[in-house]
Amino acid sequence: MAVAEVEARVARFQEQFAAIRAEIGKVIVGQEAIVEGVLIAVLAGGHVLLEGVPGLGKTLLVRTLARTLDLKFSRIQFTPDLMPADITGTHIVTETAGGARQFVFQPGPIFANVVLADEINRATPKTQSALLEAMQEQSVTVAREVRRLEEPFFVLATQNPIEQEGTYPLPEAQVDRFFFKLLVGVPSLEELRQILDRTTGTEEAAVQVVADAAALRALRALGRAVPIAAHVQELALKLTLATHPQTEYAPEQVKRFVRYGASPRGAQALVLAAKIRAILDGRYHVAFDDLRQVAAPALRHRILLNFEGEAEGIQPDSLIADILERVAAAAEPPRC
Amino acid sequence: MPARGALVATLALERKIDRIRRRIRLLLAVRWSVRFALGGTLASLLALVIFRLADAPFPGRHAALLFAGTTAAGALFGFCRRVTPFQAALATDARLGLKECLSSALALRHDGEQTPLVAALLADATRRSAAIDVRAVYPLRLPREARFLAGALLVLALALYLPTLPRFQSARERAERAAMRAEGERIVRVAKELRQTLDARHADLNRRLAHNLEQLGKGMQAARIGKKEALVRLHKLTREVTAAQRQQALAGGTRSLSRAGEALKQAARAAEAKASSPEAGQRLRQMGEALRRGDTEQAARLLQELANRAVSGKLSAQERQQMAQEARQIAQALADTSLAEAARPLQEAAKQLQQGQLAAAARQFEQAGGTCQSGGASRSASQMRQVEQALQQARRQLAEAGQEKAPESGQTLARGEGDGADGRSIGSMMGEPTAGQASPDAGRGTTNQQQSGGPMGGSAPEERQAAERPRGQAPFERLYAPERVATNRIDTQVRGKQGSGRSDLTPVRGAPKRGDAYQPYYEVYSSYRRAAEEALSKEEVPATCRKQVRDYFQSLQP
Repeated sequence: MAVAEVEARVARFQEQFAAIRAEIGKVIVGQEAIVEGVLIAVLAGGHVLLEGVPGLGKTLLVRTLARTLDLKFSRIQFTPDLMPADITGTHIVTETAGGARQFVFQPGPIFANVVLADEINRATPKTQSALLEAMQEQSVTVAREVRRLEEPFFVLATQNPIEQEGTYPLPEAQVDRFFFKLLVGVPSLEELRQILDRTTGTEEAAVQVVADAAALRALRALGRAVPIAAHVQELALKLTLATHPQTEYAPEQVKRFVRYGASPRGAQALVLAAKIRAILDGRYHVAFDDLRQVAAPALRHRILLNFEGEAEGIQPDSLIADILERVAAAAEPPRC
Repeated sequence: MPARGALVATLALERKIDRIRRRIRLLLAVRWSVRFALGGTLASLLALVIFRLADAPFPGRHAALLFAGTTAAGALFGFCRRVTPFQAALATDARLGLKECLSSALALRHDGEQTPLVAALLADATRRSAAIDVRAVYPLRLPREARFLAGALLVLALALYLPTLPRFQSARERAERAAMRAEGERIVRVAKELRQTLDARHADLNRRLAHNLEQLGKGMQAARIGKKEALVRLHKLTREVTAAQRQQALAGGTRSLSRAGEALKQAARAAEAKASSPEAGQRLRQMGEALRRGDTEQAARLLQELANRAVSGKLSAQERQQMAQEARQIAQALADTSLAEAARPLQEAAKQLQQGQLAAAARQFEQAGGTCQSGGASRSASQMRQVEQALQQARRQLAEAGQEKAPESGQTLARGEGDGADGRSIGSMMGEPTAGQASPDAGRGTTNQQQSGGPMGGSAPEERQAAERPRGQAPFERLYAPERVATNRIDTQVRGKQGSGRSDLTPVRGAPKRGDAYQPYYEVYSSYRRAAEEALSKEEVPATCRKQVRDYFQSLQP
């Protein structure tokens, strides 16, 4: 592949990304960082956990994304009585034309390209765990039969951080499978005004399909091909290791307030997301800055606070900021 | 990208990075030289503080050398620091905000053939690096530490320079500094004269002496050395000059002094054979022996004895004839030796003895003795004498510089009117001019009785001291100064019985009465110290005791 061709592909990547973003922007007001985060995760092939109070447009965002990408979309409303079979599907007895009865697998809502797991923490851990295999292996095992999920597949889950009554915190294994955890904030005054204008009128925004599954796969492939130099990769590794209190890179705050740090999935998420950011920036390599930008969404849900950290109300984001300050500063070149 | 294209891009990138690397090394050299220079300056400041606390002169030249040395060492250290191409690329990325483009390209350059995106990265990095103006990106400017260096240098300069300003010096320091400068100039002048009139026979010795003198003089002029060190070096140089004088004296003349001594011994034997002049023979023998040993000081002493004998005025005509004969014989013996110049005054002394001019003869003997004392009378010896005198004078001036000036006799002390006999001035007794002598009124002068509030004085000694004491001067201790006491005393002379044996005439001064004849401490200190310095320089004080003497006078310094 010639350099010119690479440049063209990168340009096309940027254009498509911008187009998807623009389409989502027709419906979603503001929340640029959230939209960009979701798109980066989707292009990197990861799942996203959206956390925010109700009514901020989390579900709308996911639905709009699915419409712009021309992908099969399904929504699962998690409730305490939701069972794993309600997600994965189950065998039901059907009668054939000849009158014979047989078990036929009825796929669940997981068999889609974009799965919205709405209020995921309202289901029991047993049900939540039904997503584990799907999220990691992109397959579902029902009655000892493994069924592959269609590519691309990604889960966009939402959860409400304030309602603790009747909720079940996600298991660590489940949380770790999310590529990004994005915190959806309250819109500003201007954004809120636009939201009102768009949603209380008679006109409804029409969203165009700008990419299909094949295009998404191509974008993902290009993103993964972005090279990363050893010294940049080393920063990603140090950032990950610095979340562990027992390592030499951990700052004092981490040693004091953290029980467990990020798993290798955290490092993978860092590098993959940084690669997508590099392409979006028109570069053919990953920079330190890419890692800095994606560190918080990639690592915040992978840091488990200890009792002291919980009691002190420590936010993982503040720990990540501390880590970035220490570790990234150490990666700076010598002054001359 | 084709393989050849990737290779060309890689080479271009590497060349550029190498240029950047060299530039960074240069900047590091500048930075480290400034850092080291800052360290050197701070060390100099610390040394300056220590020297000041120890009251020792700070060697400013050493500070300058330290500064230059540390700057050079820092530059070398900085230039030798290892800067890899990767580090250079990383630094350039950070400086230009290239987001690790160059460093990533450099790190991944060998993957360019396999991965299309790496090839694109290499092309991008090469394009970006080509646009880099290395000098603009890495301008040669002083690092931040230069401000601290400038501050430290300023402080050092002020600490060195301010104390040299008269405004910040005490009167004593100003006087010392002025004396050092003046004496330094004088010594440099003497050194130049010595260098210009080098005696071919002693060229090396004189050149070395001239060099040492010049170094010392310049050091004193530039205040690079302190007073104590100057005095010590002056003392050493004086000893060197004295040794050189002796060396030259022993080396001079066509005849050796030992042959002259032998001739005098023969003359002594002839004189002793005559029953009328045994003493003359003995003196000639002693002189001969001294010359044979090369002991010019002993010879000088013997001639001084002759002078004393002549000036005593108690010589009979026969004794004058004998002494004249002795003088001629010694003169003949000294002819064509290194002490040949002493022969002429001896011949003159002989003539004057015959004519009965004993005082003039004594002066001639003293002159001859002086020639012997200095080891000869060659041109270089004369120069050496001048050098020695200049050094001694410099030592005196330096020793007295900055000390409270002793009031001239008769100026601050009360003037009394006594009769000429009782009220003899101290100066006249000591052979020094005094106000009493200078006054047209004979007999008016300072008397110790008057000064000390004796019978003719009015107030108590303590009150008078307080009234006469210069402002700011601490009350002086009463110090016994016997030679300045004008009291009644009986000098006795013990004369041996005249006979065939030798007779010695020894005047014995009577002890003065103990009374109120005391001098202020600050008044006598400088003269005592001067005497001590002279004694030290003439090596009259044993070597083992010199330090105690010097320490004693330093501890007494008012």
